[in-house]
Amino acid sequence: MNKFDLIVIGGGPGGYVAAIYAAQKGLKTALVEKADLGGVCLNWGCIPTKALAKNAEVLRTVKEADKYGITLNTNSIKADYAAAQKRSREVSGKLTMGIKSLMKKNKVTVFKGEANLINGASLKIMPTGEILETKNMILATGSHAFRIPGIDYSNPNIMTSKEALQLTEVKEGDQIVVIGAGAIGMEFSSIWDSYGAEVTVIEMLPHLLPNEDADVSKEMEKSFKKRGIKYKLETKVSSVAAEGSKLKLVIDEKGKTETITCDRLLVSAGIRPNVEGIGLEKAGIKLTDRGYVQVDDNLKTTCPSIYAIGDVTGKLALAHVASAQALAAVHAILKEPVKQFDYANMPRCTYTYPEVASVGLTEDQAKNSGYDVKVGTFPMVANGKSVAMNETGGFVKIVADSKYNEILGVHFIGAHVTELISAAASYIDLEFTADDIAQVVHPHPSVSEAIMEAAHAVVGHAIHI
Amino acid sequence: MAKLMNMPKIGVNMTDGTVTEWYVNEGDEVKFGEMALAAETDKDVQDIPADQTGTVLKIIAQVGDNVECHKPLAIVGTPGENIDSLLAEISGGGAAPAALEAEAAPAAAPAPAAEVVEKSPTGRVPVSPLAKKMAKDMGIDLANVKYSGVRVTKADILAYEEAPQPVVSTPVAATAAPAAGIRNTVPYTGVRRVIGSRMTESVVTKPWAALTVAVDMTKAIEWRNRVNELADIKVGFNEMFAKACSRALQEFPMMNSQLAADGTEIYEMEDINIGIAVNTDRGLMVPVLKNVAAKGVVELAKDFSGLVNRTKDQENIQGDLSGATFTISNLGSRGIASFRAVINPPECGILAVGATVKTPVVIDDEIVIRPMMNITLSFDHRIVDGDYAAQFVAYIGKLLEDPMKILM
Repeated sequence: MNKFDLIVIGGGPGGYVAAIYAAQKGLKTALVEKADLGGVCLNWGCIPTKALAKNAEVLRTVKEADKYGITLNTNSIKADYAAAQKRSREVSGKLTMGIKSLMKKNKVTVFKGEANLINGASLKIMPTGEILETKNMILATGSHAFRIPGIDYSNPNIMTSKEALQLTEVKEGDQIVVIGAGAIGMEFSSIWDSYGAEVTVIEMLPHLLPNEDADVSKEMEKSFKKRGIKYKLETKVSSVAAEGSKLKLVIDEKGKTETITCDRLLVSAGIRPNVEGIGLEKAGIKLTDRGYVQVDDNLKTTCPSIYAIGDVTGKLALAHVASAQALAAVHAILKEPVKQFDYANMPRCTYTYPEVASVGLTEDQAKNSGYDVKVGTFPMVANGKSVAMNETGGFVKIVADSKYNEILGVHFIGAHVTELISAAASYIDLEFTADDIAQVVHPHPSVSEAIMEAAHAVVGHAIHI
Repeated sequence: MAKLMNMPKIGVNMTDGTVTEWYVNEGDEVKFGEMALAAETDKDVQDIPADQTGTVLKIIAQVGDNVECHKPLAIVGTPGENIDSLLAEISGGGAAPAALEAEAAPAAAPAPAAEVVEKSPTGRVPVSPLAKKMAKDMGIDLANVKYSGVRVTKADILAYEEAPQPVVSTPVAATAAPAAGIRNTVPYTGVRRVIGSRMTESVVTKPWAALTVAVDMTKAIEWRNRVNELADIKVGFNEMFAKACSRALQEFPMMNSQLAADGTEIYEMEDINIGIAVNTDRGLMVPVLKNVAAKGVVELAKDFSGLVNRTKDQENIQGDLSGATFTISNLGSRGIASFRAVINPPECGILAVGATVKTPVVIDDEIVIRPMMNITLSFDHRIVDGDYAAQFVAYIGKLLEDPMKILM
């Protein structure tokens, strides 16, 4: 009974997808998860933050109801952050149940506990001590928030993303500092600002969302400025100390030292892989210089029977990348052709207000890669649906190569643009050129027309500007 | 790109062969059709010809190994090429001798890299919009591009451009450019290279001969003038030649046949599809008139004008340039009296058409002036003999001298 074709370690969006797919493909499959199915994504990341972001959006809309001729007594608007947090937990709980039933439906045996490798073909479940044997394994242990050293994380006012999702109180005038202007820090900043908190974002690099196209970052900075969200770029935090119920931060802003105080601090400065306590060394699994599990093009680790997927591989820490790698790893195990990923062409989304979504190379990356770059941009203010929705901030920017109008990257900033990036990702995956995109009939009125217009701008001229 | 050199089926009853001696070593050149090894077959110990041209990169079947027909003997390609995927393919196929079986642990044999798919010559080539644009720009025929995955992508086009094309190597060893005296250097790639390798393949593999007939074109010219009085499109001589050839091919079906690549069978082709050589900016192209036997000259003229336009505009649809069973090359408009054309492989023959010239000829013991035209048939002597080919080309001449016969 405890012999399997495949054991998946970790039940996140990489692991559970691998388990379901392998079982569908006829492998006798088990999954080991120490906490809740769904992993960080479903329980402590993507999903609950989206629930909070929705509450924040409703609150923003209600607060500006007068713009639409709806009169509300502003004193009667009560924003209950605890209710928002409760709803976010309910959403996670609901989806976790869904995964549980998918496991059952696909006859994946789920072991609750920690996996401890004995060798490349067997492992022990802790704390039960049960021993499982298997032909292949997939490591999908994920990652955890990086904790900047020298900060006392036992202080309840100092949080990483997981604690931030357990936070039940945010009110008007709360002072919150967020370290790190990546997707996680920016999303919380956007949510908490909507609830009236005074947020300050601190980023070491010269831009907010430093991995995005520079134009997108600048637009985001403009938008945060307009909303009154403070940010300090090229700034380092030298020390964090508790002072009564407050926190005192010494920061270094471009060589200028300053002290700021706040009520709460979120440390969102990247992630680290979960590689400890699994017994990887017993199976001869090597790590990269950066400490991630080393895999080849087919996601095989240095142990020939074990594959690794998701955040632990350090390729691109996104749920959908882990899920895609999951299918690829199962294909490799079944000796079927393995799709080779171009990680640059994976869509990336940030659910701030306004939203940011991108795929492919930024303009700078394309130039540095030696392409003869041509850019087509279309602003949302010239898009009919955006004007009708009163969401005129942002733009679509297409980065193309001049020779064949090959699409190298597509960058969005604006309301709900995360729903549009799939189209751009498809265009790149299918190797559409700007000419092809311009010829695809896009529905009117829709924000998606802006993609077609930006493609027209690459080829020659946009129509509506 | 490296290829497998397989055990050919050189006799009807041959099923396999046991290698008794290799005439080449790894690193040596082999040429299609040249003897590369000896093997014991159902008959005797026989010399076995290579079915590929290139450098032997890896000998797979060692002396003493028994190899089934169409199973790999060696890997042939260009020195330094990566042959891992071919090796993986062989070990995956289970036909490999023990020496090649990978050291993979049983639980985790290496997964094959994305499979390289070769498409059927008649099927539509699936291609991404970007790859299509690149191929058109670079003059690459998509039918020649191998692709991994579901369709030709940018990566496949780039790989095709980088990989050495399958050209029959010339015996000249020195490939370095002469030190001085070059006025201009043109890359030997794309269409030019494809034409080159096909012509070389034809001349190297086909023992061919040529036969010329002089044709009195008096009635053909009258017939064409009458057709053009009636038709709503201008009918050219090429369409008439195609029609005459088609009629003759019906009478002489072996001229409408092809020798199988492994040299064991001759295929008589069902349809008569006639390619007509056309000069374009990109070089020689051969658009193909399909099913000529079933069509009249007016319909052929319509087909041909569409084909030529698409070919010159580089907007060919699948099948425009493939599937010919016989070809016509007409250099009459250039004033050429007669010439021998190189057969377009894998076809059996090609008709070279010269200029129509007013010539004094003797008819009923009198010297009269007649519009005379030379037609020259080049044919594959492996498939037909001279007498059969002579009857065929003479019959075409008779049909053109009295075009009414085409209808009979």
